[in-house]
Amino acid sequence: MSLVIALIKSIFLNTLGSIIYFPIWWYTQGLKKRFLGFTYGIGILFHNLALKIMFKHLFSPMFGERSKMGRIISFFMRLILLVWRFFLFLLGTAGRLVLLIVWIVLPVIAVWQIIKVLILI
Amino acid sequence: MDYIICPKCQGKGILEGKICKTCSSLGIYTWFGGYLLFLKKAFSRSDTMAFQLGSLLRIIINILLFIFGLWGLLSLLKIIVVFSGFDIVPDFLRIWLNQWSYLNLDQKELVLFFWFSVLGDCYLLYSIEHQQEERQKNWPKSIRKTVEIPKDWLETHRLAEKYKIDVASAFSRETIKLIQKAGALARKFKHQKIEPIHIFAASLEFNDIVLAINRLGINWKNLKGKISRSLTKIPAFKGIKSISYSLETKKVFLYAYHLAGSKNHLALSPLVILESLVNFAGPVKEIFYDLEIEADHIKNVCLWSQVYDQLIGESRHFSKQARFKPKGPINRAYTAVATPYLDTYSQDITQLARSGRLGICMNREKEMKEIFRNFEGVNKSVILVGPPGVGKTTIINGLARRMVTEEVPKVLQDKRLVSLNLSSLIAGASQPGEIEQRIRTIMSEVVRSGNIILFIKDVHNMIGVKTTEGELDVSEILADALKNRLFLLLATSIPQEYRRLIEGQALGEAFQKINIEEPDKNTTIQILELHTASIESREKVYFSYGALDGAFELSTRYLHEHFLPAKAINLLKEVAIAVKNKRGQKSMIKAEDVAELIAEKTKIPVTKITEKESEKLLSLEVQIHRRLIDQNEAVEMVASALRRARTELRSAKRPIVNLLFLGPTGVGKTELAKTVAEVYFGDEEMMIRLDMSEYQEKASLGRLIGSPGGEKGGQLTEAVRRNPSALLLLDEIEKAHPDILNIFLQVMDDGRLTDALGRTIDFTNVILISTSNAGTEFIQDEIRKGTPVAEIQEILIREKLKPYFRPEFLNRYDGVVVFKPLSQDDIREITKLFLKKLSKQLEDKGIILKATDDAISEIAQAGFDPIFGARPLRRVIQNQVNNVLAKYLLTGKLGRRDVVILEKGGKIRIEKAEEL
Repeated sequence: MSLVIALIKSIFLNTLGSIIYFPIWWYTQGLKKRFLGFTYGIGILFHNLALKIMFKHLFSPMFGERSKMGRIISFFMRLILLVWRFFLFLLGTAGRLVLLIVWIVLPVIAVWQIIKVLILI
Repeated sequence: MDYIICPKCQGKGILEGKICKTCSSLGIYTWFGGYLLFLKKAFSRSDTMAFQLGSLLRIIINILLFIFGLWGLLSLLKIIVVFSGFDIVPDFLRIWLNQWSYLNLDQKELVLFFWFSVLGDCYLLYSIEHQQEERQKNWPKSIRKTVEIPKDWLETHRLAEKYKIDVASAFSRETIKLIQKAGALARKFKHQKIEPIHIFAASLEFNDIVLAINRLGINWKNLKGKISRSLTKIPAFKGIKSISYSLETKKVFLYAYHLAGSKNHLALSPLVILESLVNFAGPVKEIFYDLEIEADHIKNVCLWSQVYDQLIGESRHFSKQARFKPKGPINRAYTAVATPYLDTYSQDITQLARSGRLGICMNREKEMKEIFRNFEGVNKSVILVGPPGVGKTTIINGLARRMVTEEVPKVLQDKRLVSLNLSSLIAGASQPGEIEQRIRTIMSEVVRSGNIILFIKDVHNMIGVKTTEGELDVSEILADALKNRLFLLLATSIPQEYRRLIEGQALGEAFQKINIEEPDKNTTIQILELHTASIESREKVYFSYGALDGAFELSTRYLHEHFLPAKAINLLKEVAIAVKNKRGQKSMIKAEDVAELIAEKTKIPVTKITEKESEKLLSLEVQIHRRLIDQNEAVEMVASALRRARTELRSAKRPIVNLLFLGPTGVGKTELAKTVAEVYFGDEEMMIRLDMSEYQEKASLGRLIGSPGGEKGGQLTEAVRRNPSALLLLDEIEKAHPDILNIFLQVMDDGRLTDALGRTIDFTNVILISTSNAGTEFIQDEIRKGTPVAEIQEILIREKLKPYFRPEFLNRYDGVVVFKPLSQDDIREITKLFLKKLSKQLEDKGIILKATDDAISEIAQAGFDPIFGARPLRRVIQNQVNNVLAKYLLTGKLGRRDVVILEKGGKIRIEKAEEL
């Protein structure tokens, strides 16, 4: 019998501890992970859109067109590409930022809404 | 691995029946990554139950939270659809939502539940991630490099608690079950401590271990028998209250943690524990040793299970990264130029890799790093030189895959690897200067494009390709471009061709050479494990570890013409088909199956010795004497050598045996050699016979091992290369030139010989027998005088053979055998043998041959010649019997079922069979 009580006690305490630790984890470890994920995601986006490469080669002729006209066309073409890709980058970053903000505010809003509804009831 | 053991209790954890105060029953510490490891948690029954119930409860809570989350979403949907009054929402959705009785709440309640469900979802996320973090927490976050390792137990006290890890916290769920089962087993046998043997016995119930044991080809009944005998040997005690780990068990777990940690595992699984178990002396190791399983075998079998996970992980990572590699020839910076001309003569390997058509390259980190180092540092083109089959193409494929995922140095990033096809480059070029024009255009495109690394397979084939005008070698054009570092080239070649055609030439100077060697045993086995996946799924058969090990060992030893790992892979492919055809699908391929295939290919008996063969080997002398009369000493020496060879008790780096047969002509020297070939290799034709009297000149060396600069090997080297397991008979060795005898010094000592083409020929599976008539007169005189054979032999070696052979040459022989001249009685016995042979020939024609004793004696008498031995006998039988019978056969006097009787006075009587 004592074994059963010990078991229940241990499980109950573990579960309780886990619930108490939840908000702490959310704003420490969890937030840290999300932030690292956010910066990593931006890095990947930056790499995949080849922004650095595009910027570095802004004045390089495209497809080996080394003539004067080729260079001019290349420059403007690259500029358009760069602006478009930068826009995509900003869009992606904003999306990721929104997700990060949601992580921070969601539990607060949920608790606040619950309290609000409970008071109204 | 070093351990720090408690000085008081010597690691037992208990001192005079009480918990040791010095170490608090920990007993032993070790180190990993700058962290102190110990094993404390014992997983009592309540611990295990609490763990299992806790896990179950967590799963139930997570499922409930997931359902609650779904309900919250439906609540939100109802709030939006029903209460917000959107007209655009279709009616069926509204009706459907109203049908759900547990959504029949007012708006406030639905809002409340929705927000609760949001909190629940957050908790679910936390629960899953936190659990993963907890698992990771059991392993050092980073390696602490600047840590002073404590020298004794007292120093460990000074270390902060956060740097101490209980390895039990890293146990997987299965390992906890394993410990519990091991504890139960110890309790059942009334043992005080959980010993490694308990752990091993308990581990046999887990799937991974079952698979590993099956792969090892171990007989379960045999294994279980050995385990239970080991368990009964441990002393039993009555009234045991608690069970603890023995010091050895602690060591096993600490080492297992070490292994798992170094492989970046997140949990300590039963498989790693098995790997650890065989590293410690004790019953478990003994059992495996008895079953012919070594620690390396276990390690490789464990890796085998992990190789599939590794493959899946690698292909997932690859396909994720490959999406960002441009599909066409243009790079990400848009600076590349299209190469239409090059494209017609080449293939883009990076594109092939991108579409997943190239195989994974594993265990070639060293070579890959060398290529990278060279491209990065020296910025010179690279040539991979290695024999065919060592994995040059696999390395190139691996490089292409890495170029796709961009896990390469900067100089290779955003580039493509393009393989130039030499045959299509040359094909159809009929106009003067066309090849030159083609190669120049290709190179100009490569330079202009700027994102191409050119690859040429077997670049030596390019040497000697002249432009049609016949003046310029194509390779010279290439060498010029490479010297100017206009682009980077990756090429492959084989050692002989590299030495012959590239080294020291213009092209050779333009390259940095990287040698690709055959992989070592463990690497080869791991490569084989990688390949078994596809063979097993194709042929529906399963490989045991023994088969892989056998493929490596036997192909290394007997297939000298090919190289690892390709030869072992091909062997496995062949054996898989053979076993499938023989025993059907789902069969397990064992080492014996591989040995059988090798024996079939090489005609060398390499399979395990069966009982029947044991009997045959033990009665070798009797079998040889069926063909050879007397010469007991010679027969015994040969038979012993064959037994040594078959039981692997000979030096594997020398020929099976080197023997010198001395004696007069016609006494059975060659006959014994033939008999040996028949008994050991199964056929008397398995003999390479060289008449050494043909090699009396020094110049004849070229005929023996090939001439330098020539294209053919020598008579000896070619014969042994084609037939590495045969009897090599060197007739009349004393007549060969002394320089030629020197060649055989190396053969007899090292078991190998390099021919004029630079190939090393293996002589380790050859039985080398030399015959000589040197000292014949001396032998005959001494035998007549009645001198013992041993004495004759001694004098021969010390004195009589000196004019013919140098002492170091004679020394290389395992035995110098003196053949005695034949006596009258011997000749009589030989006559019987000859007649027996003739009788067999007549039997095929349905004729029976009989000979009276008088006739045999007469023939023996006529054929006896003390100088020529048994040779004249053959002539006598030929003249007196064979010739007469041939005439009878032709005239029809002799027919089927007739009996021929040889009688006194050379008469041949025919007993005609009754007419039917």
